[in-house]
Amino acid sequence: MTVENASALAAAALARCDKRDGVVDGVISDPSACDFDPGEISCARALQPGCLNPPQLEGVKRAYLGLPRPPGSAHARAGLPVGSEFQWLHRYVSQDENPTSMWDFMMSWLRADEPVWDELSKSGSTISLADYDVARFSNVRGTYQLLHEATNPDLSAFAESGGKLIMMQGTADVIVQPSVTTRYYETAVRTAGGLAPTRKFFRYFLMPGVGHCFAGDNAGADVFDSLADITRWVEQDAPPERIVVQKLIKYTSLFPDVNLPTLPSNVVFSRPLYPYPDRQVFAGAGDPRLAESFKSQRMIERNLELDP
Amino acid sequence: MIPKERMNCRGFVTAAVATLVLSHAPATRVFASDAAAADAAAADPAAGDAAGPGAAGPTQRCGQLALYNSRYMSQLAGLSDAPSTITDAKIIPAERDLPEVCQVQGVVAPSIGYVLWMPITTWNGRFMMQGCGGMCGNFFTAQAEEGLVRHYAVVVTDMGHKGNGGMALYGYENLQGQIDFGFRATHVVTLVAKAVIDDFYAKTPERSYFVGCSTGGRQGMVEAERFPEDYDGIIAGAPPWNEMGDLPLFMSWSARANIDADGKNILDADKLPMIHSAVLTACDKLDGLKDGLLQDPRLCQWDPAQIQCGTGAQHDPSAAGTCLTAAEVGVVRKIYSGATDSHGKALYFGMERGSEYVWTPGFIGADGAPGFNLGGKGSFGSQFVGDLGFFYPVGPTYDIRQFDYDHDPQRLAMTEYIYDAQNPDLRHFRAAGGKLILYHGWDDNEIPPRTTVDYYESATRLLGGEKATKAFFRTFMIPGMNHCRRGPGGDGVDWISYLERWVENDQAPEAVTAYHLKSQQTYSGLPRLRFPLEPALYDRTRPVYAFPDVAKWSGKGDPNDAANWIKAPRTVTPSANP
Repeated sequence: MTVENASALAAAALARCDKRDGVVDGVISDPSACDFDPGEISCARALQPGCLNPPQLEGVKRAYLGLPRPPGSAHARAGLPVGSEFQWLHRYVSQDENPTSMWDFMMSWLRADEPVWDELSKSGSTISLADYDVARFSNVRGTYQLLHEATNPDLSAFAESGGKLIMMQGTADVIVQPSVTTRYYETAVRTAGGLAPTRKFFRYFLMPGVGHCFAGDNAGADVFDSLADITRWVEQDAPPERIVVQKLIKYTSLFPDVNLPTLPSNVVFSRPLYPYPDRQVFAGAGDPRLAESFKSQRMIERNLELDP
Repeated sequence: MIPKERMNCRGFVTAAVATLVLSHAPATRVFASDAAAADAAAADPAAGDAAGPGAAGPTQRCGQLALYNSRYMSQLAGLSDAPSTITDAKIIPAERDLPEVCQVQGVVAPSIGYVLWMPITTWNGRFMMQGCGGMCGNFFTAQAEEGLVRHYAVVVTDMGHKGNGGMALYGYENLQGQIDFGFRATHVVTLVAKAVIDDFYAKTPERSYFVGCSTGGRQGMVEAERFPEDYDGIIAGAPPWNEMGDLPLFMSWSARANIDADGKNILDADKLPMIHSAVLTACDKLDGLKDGLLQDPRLCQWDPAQIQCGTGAQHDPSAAGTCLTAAEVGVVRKIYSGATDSHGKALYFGMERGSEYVWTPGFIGADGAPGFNLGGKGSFGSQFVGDLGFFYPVGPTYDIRQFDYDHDPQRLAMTEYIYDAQNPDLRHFRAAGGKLILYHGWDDNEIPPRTTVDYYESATRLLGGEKATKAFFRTFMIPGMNHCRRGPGGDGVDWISYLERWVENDQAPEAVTAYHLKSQQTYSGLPRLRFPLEPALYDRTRPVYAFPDVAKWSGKGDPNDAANWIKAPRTVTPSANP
């Protein structure tokens, strides 16, 4: 896959799903609801710059779908989100003869984590990512992951002790899949006995068009004063009903908060975020660059593998 | 330098490896480094034929297992993450009602011991792990009989260290030991047992079951939560969900509740029968039958102030034996409420009404001594918290009386997450087709029964409600039963048969029959019961319905016969506390 492929893919995805939130702004607000088919830009359909040949098309489909789930498995299927295509370059798709950055990253994890009790590594043989098998990974998840994991959805002790929790997730994150974070939230909601009791102490905000922790090269708005929101909730009992995020012309840091305060002239557009499962849609009138022109809408509640 | 006899042994094992790879066609990958050995052996077809499955008798094959070294073991299917070896394998002749077995002993790195028994000719095709108890460190050989008598292949493990079940010293400055006891030993020994069974019988077990109570119950829950593919069916009794919290926040708390500022007992054990009697007077009839048992103690709201001495009587020596002082009332309330911080905020759960008879000697010592659970240096509580409760352990000098209920509970959390069995997300286990039976005695004086109720209710919410949960996970709260067994209630339940019927015939247990034994088992559950029970061994049967349902006497016939009991209408609503 080349830059031209990524470009064609991103353009086709936008053409299909950008307008779903009411504005054409280069952001797909809800990639998980975008039914984009990469076959739309297959070379078989039209021989044009960036079109996908059969092996490319197969690879792209697999990237969107994620790891196939074994039959009966309750794992959420977690592929790369629609709208994140440019981020695949270098990270997952090498543009030269060097391994991709995620390959190097994952290999360092495997070397660090897995061989602790692995006689193979002690005997000097190495493991390559290519012959890493899913069944074995499931086992590693048990023995090693459990020292690291943060998946217990029972937050009752935190709630009882008066804690407040804001969880953010970019919809174009290619490092942590948004579907996994959403699944955690939905599980926690069930465990706490429903959305209303959960929202009293725990709110989840999806950030459209934002990558891993910050927007970076993505089109989404990511700058807001997160400390102010959590402080208001904790100290004044004012939960975040709406968080306004800004997309800046010029960033002084990748880390969103560090850009604050910023001049109004440095703002490309601002958007409201609403706590999941609510999201923002264009109200139909007004300046789409202003947060005031958007309203809240309950998403169609998708059940992410909760009842396999 | 390799000793000569080891080299000989290696030569044999190399041939055996090739046999396995060629004859069993296992899923195991042949790694590049082993290819040469496999090729060399393949070039010698005689080596491959000589020891193929079926070629040797079971006695010979049992003996061959003793020669398996770690390199060979690492190539059995599924063992790439469970480096292990076999140290001994031999035939144990049939004795009493137990079959002739191949007994295999071995180690999983670094120091997890296991013993596996495989019936020679009578194997029922199934595999069972029998969980251990307390701090483990020993092999539950006698407990394994309940599986062996049914001709299961049964494995037990010491969970990675040496001890007598009551020793926490293993955890002192030993993070690996804690990880193994916390979750790893159960899993890796499961992998090893399955692989050796597969190798010995040349057949994968048709079903895998886990059976255990107390720490064994925690092992079962850890398997369901963290390794959901390991077992088809799990029986988990009275699990210490919060291993770290349980001792200081329940057992030691209950004993400390009875100590005054001078370290002396406030309430004397002699008064416990009187308190128990007052509870029964107030609450025994609530379930429709006065029999000394509360079918659901949550219905009983009795407060000890109801037998508090009047101002005058308090100073009347003749009345002292029939009423409680204000201080004594305070002790009883603290044992019911469970641990709190100095502001009265609840930290844990306490004992149920009706359990007062079992408060001594653990909470309230006999002869005016402090409760055993507060036995000072060397007591289980001190050891447990001192040697492994804190992430940076104090060690054997720790005295549980130093435990600070305002600041120390949080400090236990870092270690707790190695042991934790409180994750209510059982969706992976459900998706893998697993069935789970959980049970707990309402009069448990080592693990508060409401921890189990709390877990079950959390899991029910997460899993989509009662119907969806009961499709694969059912809980049974046993009236009048202590920790895992014993007590005035019926503690003899044929759990294994209920689980087999559920897993294999899809017959979910609506209710189980609990037998009251004329002669109670030991604390460790010995001798293991043989079902169906000889009628001479018991004097009462009662049904126990899947929680939250409870049983009720129909009003006709002998109340000591389960046939005369029905399911009671529901009176207790699930806890609103998320």
